[in-house]
Amino acid sequence: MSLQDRIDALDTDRDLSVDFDFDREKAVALAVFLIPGLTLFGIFSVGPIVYSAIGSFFAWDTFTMEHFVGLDNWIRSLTDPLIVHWSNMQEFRYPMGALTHNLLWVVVHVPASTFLGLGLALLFADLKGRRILRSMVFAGFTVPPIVIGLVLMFIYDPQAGVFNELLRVLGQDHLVRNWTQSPQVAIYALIAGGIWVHTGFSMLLYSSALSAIDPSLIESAKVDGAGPWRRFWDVIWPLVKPVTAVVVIMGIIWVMRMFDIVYAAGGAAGGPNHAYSVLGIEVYRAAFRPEIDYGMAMVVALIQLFIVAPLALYIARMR
Amino acid sequence: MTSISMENVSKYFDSGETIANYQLDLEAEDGEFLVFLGPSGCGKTTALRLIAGLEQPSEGAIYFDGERVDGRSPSDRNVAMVFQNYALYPHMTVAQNIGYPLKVRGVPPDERDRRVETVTELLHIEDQTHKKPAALSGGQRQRVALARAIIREPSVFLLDEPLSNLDAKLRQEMRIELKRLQNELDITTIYVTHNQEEAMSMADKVAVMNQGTIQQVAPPQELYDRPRTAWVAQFIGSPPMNLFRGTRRNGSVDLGEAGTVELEGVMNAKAAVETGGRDDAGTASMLASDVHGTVALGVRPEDLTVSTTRPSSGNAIEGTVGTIEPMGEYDLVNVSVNDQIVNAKVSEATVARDDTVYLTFDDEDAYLYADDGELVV
Repeated sequence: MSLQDRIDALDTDRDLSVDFDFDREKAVALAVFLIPGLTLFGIFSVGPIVYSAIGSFFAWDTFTMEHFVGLDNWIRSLTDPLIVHWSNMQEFRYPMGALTHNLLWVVVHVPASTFLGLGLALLFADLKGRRILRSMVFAGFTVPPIVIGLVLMFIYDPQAGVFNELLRVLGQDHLVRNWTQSPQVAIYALIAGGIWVHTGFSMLLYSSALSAIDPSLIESAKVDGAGPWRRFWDVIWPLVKPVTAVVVIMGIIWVMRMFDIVYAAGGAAGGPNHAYSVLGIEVYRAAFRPEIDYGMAMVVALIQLFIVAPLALYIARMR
Repeated sequence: MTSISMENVSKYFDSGETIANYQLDLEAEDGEFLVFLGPSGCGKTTALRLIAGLEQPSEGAIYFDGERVDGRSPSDRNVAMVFQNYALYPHMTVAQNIGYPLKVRGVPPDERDRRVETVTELLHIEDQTHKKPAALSGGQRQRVALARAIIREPSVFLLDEPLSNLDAKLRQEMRIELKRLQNELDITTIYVTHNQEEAMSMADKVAVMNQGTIQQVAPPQELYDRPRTAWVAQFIGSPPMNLFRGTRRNGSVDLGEAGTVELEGVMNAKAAVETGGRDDAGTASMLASDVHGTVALGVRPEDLTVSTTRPSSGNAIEGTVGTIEPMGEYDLVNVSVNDQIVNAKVSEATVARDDTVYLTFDDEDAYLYADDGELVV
């Protein structure tokens, strides 16, 4: 290697190191900006998840981690009738387990609130006073869920409740009962309340999606000869479909995290004999009510996370 | 094939607060290309929507081929419409967009595909059929919208400012294309625009609208030659007609310091041109010495001659040259007459700023508008 070559090589090295310096500066800048956010995210999100994930494999003496027990907590939780009650499920008798109840919420609540929201949004779209109507329907969603739970208690009260009074007026006295305390129907009574609240949310999203549709598209379809039903299926529905994904997923997340309404109506037991307990209630009870079973609380919370996280991720990554 | 007629059609909004259209009377012959021309907000689009059936008239009746159609839905009228923003369904491909009116009418898919192929070839968009509207250029979208309108062979073809979103060159091209299509298909067409060039170049008949009313319905040439109101005169032509305000006195128009214009020659020239014209008694009353009032004398810029010396005979209007705008093809001389700026189109300006000039014109090129804007002669 000649001297010239060595000098050239040195030059290239220097160039490289300059580049590297520049990159390092950028990296430092990036880090400075990222650290505050990442710290909070780490302490309050990642930390607890990792802690629970590890903790779910250990035995606990109240809040003190003891020895490694492998899948013991998991097996114990998943076979617990409070989480999934197989024999009651076969007889369709409540309680069927918190996970089952949560899934029931998903199956009933999510489609109902989605369609009701779409229906109301369509109904209000061309109505005079639609802003007032929308605000009234959406008001339910702005109320804290724990208050909704209390309101439901009043509505379903056997003596003072509006709902039972309505039944009496309609001459259906035999149906009058304390709805939130009757195991076989209580969960549906609560789901109905949940639908009322959440319809406001889906209606709002659909309303904004509908108002984003160019009115000349609808008029064009009219001129093309499409009736109201065709206009809905061929033009409106395809254009609000992306919103439907958001509404459905947000709905699933909302009911999977359900706690307040159930707690207000049925306390920490989730109704008489856990008749409408949900996963959130089970986490709370396992963690904070004697006999404290911290391992189980962690397992149930992780189950909730496994269901909700992919959905949340999907929403976050939608264009 | 359909003829359209509107009788006394009015449209009010906000329970009568807003008058969009007032007592429109209009006839469009079978196969005719009728243009609604007017400034924005004049109600031309509302008039089109009334014909389409997207709005229902507050008063009056609309007939297609003598059959009353107001109150019927757009689909019952067999009209096709092209919207200003094209209104293509964004989730459908070009082929699906074009085929949609047929799909709604239950035309079987094979037949549909065949007809889509035919119209896409007619409009030269056969290579775009698999694309979504978002992937098309403005001109292509325009063609898709046209294709969607003509595919079902409507009896009436309605176009709402279809070229306004295109650039100048494309607009020119599409104008020719539209005219060709209309000639080929021979469908009664109603076209809304605020662009007089479009109106004049394409229309068989132009309905000039202002403030919700029809000012004049006439073929383009007549509109230019005989604008019936001062407003139309000032709307048609580029630059618009000059209106000299003056007072009528003793058979002439007194323009103050700028001079007077004898009306006799103007009257006689018009009487000779006019077909079926005014009776002599009318002409005589115009010239009567006791008639007074404010009038406007209209002369188009292209009919004015600018000279620096007062002509020995004929009418001349005195003014001072303001600015001169060289346009290449011609020079536009802005002359100030009684604090009023008028334009004269000359092939080559030989005058300079602040020159005193005399504007002359032939008697048959002058128009006289009464105080209320109506054409007198």
